[in-house]
Amino acid sequence: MSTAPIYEAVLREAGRQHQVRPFHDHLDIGAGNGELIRLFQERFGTKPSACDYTHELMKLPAQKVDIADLNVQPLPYADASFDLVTATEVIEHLADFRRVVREIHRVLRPGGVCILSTPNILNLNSRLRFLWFGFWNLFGPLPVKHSKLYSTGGHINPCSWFYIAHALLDAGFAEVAPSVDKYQRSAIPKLILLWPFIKFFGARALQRERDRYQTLDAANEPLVRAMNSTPLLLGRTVIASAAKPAR
Amino acid sequence: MQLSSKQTVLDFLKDQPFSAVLDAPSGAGWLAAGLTGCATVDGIDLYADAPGYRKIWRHDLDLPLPADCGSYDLICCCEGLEHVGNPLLLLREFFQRLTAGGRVIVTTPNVWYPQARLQYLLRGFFPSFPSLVGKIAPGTHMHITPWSWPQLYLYLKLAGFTEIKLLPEPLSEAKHFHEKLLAIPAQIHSRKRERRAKTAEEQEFWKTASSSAALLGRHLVVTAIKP
Repeated sequence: MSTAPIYEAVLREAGRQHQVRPFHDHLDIGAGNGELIRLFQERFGTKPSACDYTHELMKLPAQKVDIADLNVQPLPYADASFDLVTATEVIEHLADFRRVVREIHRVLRPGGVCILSTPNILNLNSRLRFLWFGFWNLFGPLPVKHSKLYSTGGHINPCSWFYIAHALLDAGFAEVAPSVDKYQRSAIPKLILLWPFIKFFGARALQRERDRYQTLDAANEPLVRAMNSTPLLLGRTVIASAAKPAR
Repeated sequence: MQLSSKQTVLDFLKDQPFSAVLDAPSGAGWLAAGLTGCATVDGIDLYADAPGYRKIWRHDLDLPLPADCGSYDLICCCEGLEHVGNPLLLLREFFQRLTAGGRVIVTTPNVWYPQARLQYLLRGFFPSFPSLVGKIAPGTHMHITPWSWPQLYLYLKLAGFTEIKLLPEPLSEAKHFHEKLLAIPAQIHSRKRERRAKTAEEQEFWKTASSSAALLGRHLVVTAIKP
């Protein structure tokens, strides 16, 4: 999968945040070859830190990589160390992404920003693949043999926008918002075809949740509505941003 | 937990040898009541105390199991895995607390049945996964981790278990005709993968994936062994 549009979307979101909350100390989790760090330095003049499961992927000669297995270890940083934490295409590899979200909250300074990205399992191509075959795009079927969790074959945690938002809110973040990297053109005709059904059944379900089950309130209704929004029905990768409330 | 899954678990256990059982989460204590006289049963639950247990811990299953928890030859996790944020930790903890040759039984709502897939297509949510946010009242069904046969198989494998089997339960049948139709592509896909399988394990996996229990059942009842 091409990561350039994802990085571009993360930078776009960071640019929006930078106008409100200027950031300097940047942590990139799952830093890989360091491309995102380089782009942030270039565009925002950030001071970077990199965290990954290995340092072998890093191509920036001067960049130190802090090694951590985030499935079992905490982030190797003190509380309130960063203004911005990014984790692109990481949480789908983690068995316990909620703990990592709490860790991100811990290492961010009050007012700091977190930006995550993961394959969007709510786009129509993915929903239809799940309907027909039971697997989302980029999520299996995984090899039956024990696979390496760091490769694309290691996507073990399919997580839709609502549960990412739920984890972020649960960890203490606010201003949680989704965006996407790019629209999948192949999903557009499917959306045109399915639009009336999605709108009708979506509205009916919302009404039932609100009136009968009483599971909707002012806090979660925008998150639920976003599940069937055009960006999430067409977007390839979901970008979730959130801010740690200032004291 | 629905009656049919409870009955499936109890029927299965009739023929199994075990003497020390951990029930996590223990809920209202139906398992201890069902196994009275067969074994000593310990329980773990976040909220409820229930009768019939030798010992019961009030404990969050998103954390490692209590340090003074013993070792068991059977661990049952009925309708618990969908509530936890870190299911792999829980399964690994079960693995550690089981004796060699011990068995785990997991039951959880199945999100693979056609009506659930259709609902996901139209809403982005699965049935029985309500959109709750914030503090949840004790006993509220805050399901946060959806499970299908492949996903549960993967996590049990990652935790170290073998001989992973899906038990059919009485509700492993289509409720509506359109569900039978919607299940056909997945059935064809799984059978094709079964034919192309290179190992016996892979073949068994896809055979199960094409079964009614995996494709049509409302609940998964899965057992696995610690080698």
